[in-house]
Formats: sequence, structure tokens, C-alpha cells
Amino acid sequence: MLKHSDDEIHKLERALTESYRSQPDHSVGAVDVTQDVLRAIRQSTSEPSQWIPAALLDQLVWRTATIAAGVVLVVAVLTVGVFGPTSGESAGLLAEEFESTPLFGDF
Amino acid sequence: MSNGSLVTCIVGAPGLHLPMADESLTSLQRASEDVDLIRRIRQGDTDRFADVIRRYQHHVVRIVGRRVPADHVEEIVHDVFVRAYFGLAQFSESVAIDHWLAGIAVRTCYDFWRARKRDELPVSALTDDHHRWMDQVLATQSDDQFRHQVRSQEAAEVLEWALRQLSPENRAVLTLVHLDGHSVREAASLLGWSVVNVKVRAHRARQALRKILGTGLRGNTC
Repeated sequence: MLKHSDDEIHKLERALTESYRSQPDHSVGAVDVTQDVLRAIRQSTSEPSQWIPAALLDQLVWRTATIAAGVVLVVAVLTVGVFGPTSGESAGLLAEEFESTPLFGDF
Repeated sequence: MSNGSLVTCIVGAPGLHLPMADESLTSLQRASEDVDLIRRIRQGDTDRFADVIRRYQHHVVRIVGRRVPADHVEEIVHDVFVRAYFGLAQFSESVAIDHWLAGIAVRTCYDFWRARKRDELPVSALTDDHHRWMDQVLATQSDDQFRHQVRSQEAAEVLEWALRQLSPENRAVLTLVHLDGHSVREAASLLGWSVVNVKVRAHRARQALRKILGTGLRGNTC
């Protein structure tokens, strides 16, 4: 197995980077999509039932999920708040537990 | 405040203006015309979108032309503008339109390579000419020789061969950060990914590229 040094790989990497930067831009004058894009837009907007914009669908899904998560959180907090033991009650129960347990030497 | 800094403040948020954008487009007048144009299109004047295409088509072609094969450029540029039209609801007037379109262009090219990866098109092997080019690059002693080698057709082909072996994610990040020279923050903004994600990917992508180049060198029998 022959291993190439880091310097060689680095030199090759630098050559490829400079090659990329020296490449001429795609001939911009050769491309004109104006009419095709407008046609595609008109076609899509005239057939609303067949084409749902992905962005709107994404937005709908995320908004619904956020609202659902918010509702679940509020219900959880209210449930704990209404049915959970109050701090006064739990302190009282704890005190009773300690009082009922005999300490060493208390006979 | 100088006129230049005023323009930067109005046209785009700090740090979002890209060096690859055509500087002539970022004038104060152009920015206010763009905002007006977008408002009219949002109000239903679809035909005015032709002005947006005419104004920024070259900008988008330049970005796409460096990312996908030449015979797919027109198709991808078309998709970029269709996506832009249907994403106008998300367009924020605080961001320059050329930056917004650049982001859509970069993500559309990324989707193009993801679709290609799914189709699992085979990557062609390097030819003797490519191996000879690599040997010549490694043997160069002067800057002139190096520059001459860099401009050859084989250089572009070897780069394309290496990029095609990367995952679409690594390819997108490597192109933006290492080849285009954008900062991690700019790349994250264009791709719509987190800065941390781009940072990690940029490191991994470069390691992957170096590994690929290592296996491509003649004499490497690993």
C-alpha cells in the first residue's frame, strides 16, 4: 500500500479549488426562462386543486403541530395545578409521619 | 453615514449580503423598486414577475451554472423561479432579493443532487489523462506551471469526479464554504441549516474530499 503525503493531497486540493474559481461562468445569455416560468405559474394557479404549494403545506403542518403542543402543555399544567396535592398538605403529611415514628430513647 | 453603508443597511441585513451577488443590483433605487415589484406581485399582478426574472436571471444562472451539469442549468433555473414565485409569501423585505434567490438556487441544486443520489447514477472512473494531470500537478515547481495545470479541462473533470462521490449534503457545503469561499454563517443562511451543522459538515466534507483524492492518485493501491 502506497500512502500519499498530506502535502500532495493539499496541493491537489488547492489546484482543484483554483480550477473551480477560474472556470468561466455558464453563458448567461443562452438562458431565458421568463416565458416558461410564467406559463408554469399560470398553469399551476389555474389548477389549484391539483397543485398544493409545498411551502404552504409545510407551514400548515408546523403551525398545527405547534398549536397542538401548546394545548397539551396548558392542559398538563392545569391538570397538575387542579388535582395535584398542595404544598401545605404535603408538609402536614410529612410532619405526621415523623411524629408517629418513635425516636431512639423515647420509650 | 456614507452612501455605501446606507445602501447596505437598507438593502439587506448585516452579514447577509453575498459577495457573489452582482454589486450593480444593490443600489438604493433598485432595492426600493424590488420591494414595490414584490408587493404588486403579491397583490395578484403575476405578469410583473417577468421583471423579477429578467432582473435576476443572470445572477441565478451564475450560481446554478457552477453547481449542476451544463445541460441541466436551464431546467434548474426555471425551477428556482417557480419556487421563488410560490414562496413569495415567505419573502422578507429586510433581506435583499438577490440573497433570497441565491438561497433558493443553492437549495434547488442540492435537491437536484439528492434526486441523482436516489437514482444511484454510477460515477465514471478516472482516465489516464486525469491521472497524468494529477502527476503533473504534483510535479509542478513554479507558480506558472501550477496555474497552467489549473486551467486545463482535466482539472475541472477531476473536481467533478471527486464532488460526485460526496453526499449531496457534503457537496453543497463544500461548494459553498471551500470552493465559493463563503463564511460558515453565509452558507448556513443560504442552505437554511444551523451554523453548527454547516461547521461540522464543512469539516467532514473536506476530510471526505481529501480521502477521495488520496484514492484517486495513481500508485495508491488501497
